[in-house]
Amino acid sequence: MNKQPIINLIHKKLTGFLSNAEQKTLDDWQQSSDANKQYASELDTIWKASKSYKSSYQPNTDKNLAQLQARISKESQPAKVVSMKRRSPWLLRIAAAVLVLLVAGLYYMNSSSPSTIEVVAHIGESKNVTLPDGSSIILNEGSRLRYPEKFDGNQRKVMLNGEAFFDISHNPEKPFHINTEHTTVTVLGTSFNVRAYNDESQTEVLVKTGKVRLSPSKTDDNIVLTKNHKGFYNHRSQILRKEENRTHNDLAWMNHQLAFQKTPLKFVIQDLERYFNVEIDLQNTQLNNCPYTSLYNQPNLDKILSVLSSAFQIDLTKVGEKQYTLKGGICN
Amino acid sequence: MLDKPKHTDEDLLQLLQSNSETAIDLIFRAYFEEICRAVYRIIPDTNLVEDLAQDVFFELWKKRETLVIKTSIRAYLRRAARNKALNYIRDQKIKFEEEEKAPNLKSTEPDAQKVLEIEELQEKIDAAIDSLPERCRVVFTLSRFENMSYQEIADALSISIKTVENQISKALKLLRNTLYNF
Repeated sequence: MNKQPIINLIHKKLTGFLSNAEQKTLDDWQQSSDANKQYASELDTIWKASKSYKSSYQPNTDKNLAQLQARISKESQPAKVVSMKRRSPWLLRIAAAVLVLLVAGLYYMNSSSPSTIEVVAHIGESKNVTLPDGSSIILNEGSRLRYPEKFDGNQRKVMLNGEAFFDISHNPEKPFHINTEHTTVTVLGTSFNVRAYNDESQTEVLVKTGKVRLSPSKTDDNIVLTKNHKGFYNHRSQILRKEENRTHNDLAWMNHQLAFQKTPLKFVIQDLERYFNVEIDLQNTQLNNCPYTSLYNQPNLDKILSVLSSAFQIDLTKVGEKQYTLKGGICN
Repeated sequence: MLDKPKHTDEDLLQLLQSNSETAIDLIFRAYFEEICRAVYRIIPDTNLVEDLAQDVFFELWKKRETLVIKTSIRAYLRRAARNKALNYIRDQKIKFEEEEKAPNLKSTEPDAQKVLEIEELQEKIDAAIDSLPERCRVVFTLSRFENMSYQEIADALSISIKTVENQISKALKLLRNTLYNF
């Protein structure tokens, strides 16, 4: 028997949306058998029990109140004073900014119209660029940016190959698109930070605050990323996914700071490999999840590795130009 | 249980005009947990919930000068939180699987030994609700915790009333199967 209509009646009764006529139907059904009566009573019990759904969830009230107070005081004071005062730490400095690092392989603007401007940062240099809308961009070495002399129409589009930090001026009327060889990154929110890493095979985008959309060019799919989520697009498998971000070091290339806070050692190693462009083999897997906390300004690989090896009693060997092996060690 | 706010809504709303930072602190302390839970029931993602809930309070503060609250601060915040969650679902275009796995819906004969107490069920209810197909779960929670009618749910999620009826019935069937058939 199809129970759906009767379940809807029971549900309407529980929620107080039952009409008199429906009440009559429900009563008749319940009177017709004990099984029906019990069925209704079971749903009633489930309904009552469900009131406790998620009631044990405890948000972090103090932390959120502190954040809210910070947002309010920022909004209450003249913007310039605040920005001057608060500029120093890099995390705050990059508020309202987007950072994109993308795959190697050239992406050419299909129009070679004379109004297109190209900026190239060669190996060993970085370049500051100001766009026609006032947005500013820092290009990392080995990167190329193309943009129109003027943003006509209802969109702002730039092309990027390489890595860059974007500080985008807010204009909801004209969304900002960063086209790359494999993806488009669209800025949706008001204040945001994005970081997209790319190794050989994937594009990554990290959002610090606000909202950003990552759309691969080959598929209709897209994902919207919010605070502390990282989006990944694998160019070969064309798989688009997102996950919670784990590292503090997405902007290390720019601000030359590596921060670890109870970071599992395997992730410390990953961040070091990425920042210094080396390979580090942590052979003792028992150390993988060992937490490590430290802050390095102007990081120096030899120094960090020697600190790590004494902290965890690891044997460090340099096995090649850019290859290190870590053997043994104890997790405290 | 939440502590009852020590100030009346009227006090708080007045304070919001004169000393908005103190007022927002008081309102936040009184309602933040409840608002988080309300959002969490709709979007069970701890990474998002606190941000969305925090935004609700920030927006209340931003609107403080033009704010008209006809019901109560609590009702206003609950409504704002619900809209926030629903907008998030809409903007994210959270895709509900159309072909959800056909659940085992065989109906079972009543069994006197399976009469469960509410307390016993409560221990299992979170897992049971979380295991519902996503669309089914959202429809269920909007009815259960937001007291929304079939029509309101249909409008909020851009689905038909028929689908809402379907999903509600499916949710209850699945919950009963999970909780009563061991």
